[in-house]
Amino acid sequence: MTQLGEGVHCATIAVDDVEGINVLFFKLVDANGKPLRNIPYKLVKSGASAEPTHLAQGKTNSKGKTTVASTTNDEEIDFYVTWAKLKMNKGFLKD
Amino acid sequence: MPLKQPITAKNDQPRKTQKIVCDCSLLWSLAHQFTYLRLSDEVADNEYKLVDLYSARAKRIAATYARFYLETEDGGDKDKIGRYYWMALGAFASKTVACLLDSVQLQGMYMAFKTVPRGLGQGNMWLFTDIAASHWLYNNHRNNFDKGMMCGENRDAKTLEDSVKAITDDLPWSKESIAAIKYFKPSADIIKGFKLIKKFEEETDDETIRRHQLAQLIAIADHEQGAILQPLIYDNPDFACWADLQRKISYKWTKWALPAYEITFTHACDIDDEQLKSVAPDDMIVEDLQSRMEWISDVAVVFHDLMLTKNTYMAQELQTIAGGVNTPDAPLVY
Repeated sequence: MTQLGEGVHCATIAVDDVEGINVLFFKLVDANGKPLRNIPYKLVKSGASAEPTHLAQGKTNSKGKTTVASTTNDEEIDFYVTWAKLKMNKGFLKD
Repeated sequence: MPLKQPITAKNDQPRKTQKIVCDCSLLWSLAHQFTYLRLSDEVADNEYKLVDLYSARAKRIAATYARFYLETEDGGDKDKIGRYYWMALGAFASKTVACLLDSVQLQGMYMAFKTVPRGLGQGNMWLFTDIAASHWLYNNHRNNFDKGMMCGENRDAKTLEDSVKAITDDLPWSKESIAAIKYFKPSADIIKGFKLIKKFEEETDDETIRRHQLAQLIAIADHEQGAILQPLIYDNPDFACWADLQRKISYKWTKWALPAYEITFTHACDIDDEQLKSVAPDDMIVEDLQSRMEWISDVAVVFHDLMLTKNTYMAQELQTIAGGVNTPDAPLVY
């Protein structure tokens, strides 16, 4: 029995254990269905602005998957691959 | 084809995974991004600025080639050192370009004529985009390079992801460069070069390995000279005119004002030891591919011999060149 003041571990709840709650992921694969890992991405509610577009939320894992994109039933999510921004000086003799 | 973004999915099932199928466009876009970020400084989170100074770009390019050879680049494998043989020669060559760009002669010329430094800067930068991107892809997405989606044979700058294509199209000299090199369509020579890299990886006999290395060096040299540098700079009438003028002046007067065509196998710009350099013959017609390749074949033999007889020295020089990967830009670019 747990004594008063004793530390307790947090419960680990697998997403499959939660009945009635939908969970959405994205997964990047190549044309042969093999996962593409380490791809930077951004997830936003569908229709919302993705600015700043160059800042990633994360990278796809070894299975090509994102983190949980949504736990709200029937919610729509937009997925973007993110790319760095590049500035160039186009002054005299520089191109 | 590039991804049509955004890709939207509805969370309407207990555990839904929305698959997004990508092709070579995404992988080549990552590879292109690697090349132009290497020539840039980070100024904010994932925001970069391209360095202006041609010689700083050339030093970073030389460093990147050296890092690929030394297997210290992104996705490298120390157990496979020696497979990217051309990269070692390319490091010395790009270092030489940096020295030329820094030389008094060229700085003087820079103020009066733009043709030569521009030609060197343009050729070096777009060759780098071509060759370093291929090696990065081989290092990081091997399963889709010469197997899987076969991206090594399927490259097209027209189908890069939108953001990367916009940047690539905006890079210096892009208008006259990308079309000239056929949108990076792989040549038979570069495909052969990568097949020889694979053979190197599978071979265990030292003699055969060395044969593969030299053959790979020649195959990629054929590609870079014939498919990239020839259309990029040597077919440019202004550059050819300048090269012709240089020959006439060189024959009549001293060469004090003109940089010699030579490559030195040292991290420094020059070296007295004649064994560590190769100077082009006076009768070389630099803008003529065949004439130039005759000298480059000689360079390859000298380099190959040095890599065997002075391997420790060559590795040390490459390590030093690799240290230039973050060469700073100049506060004021002339």
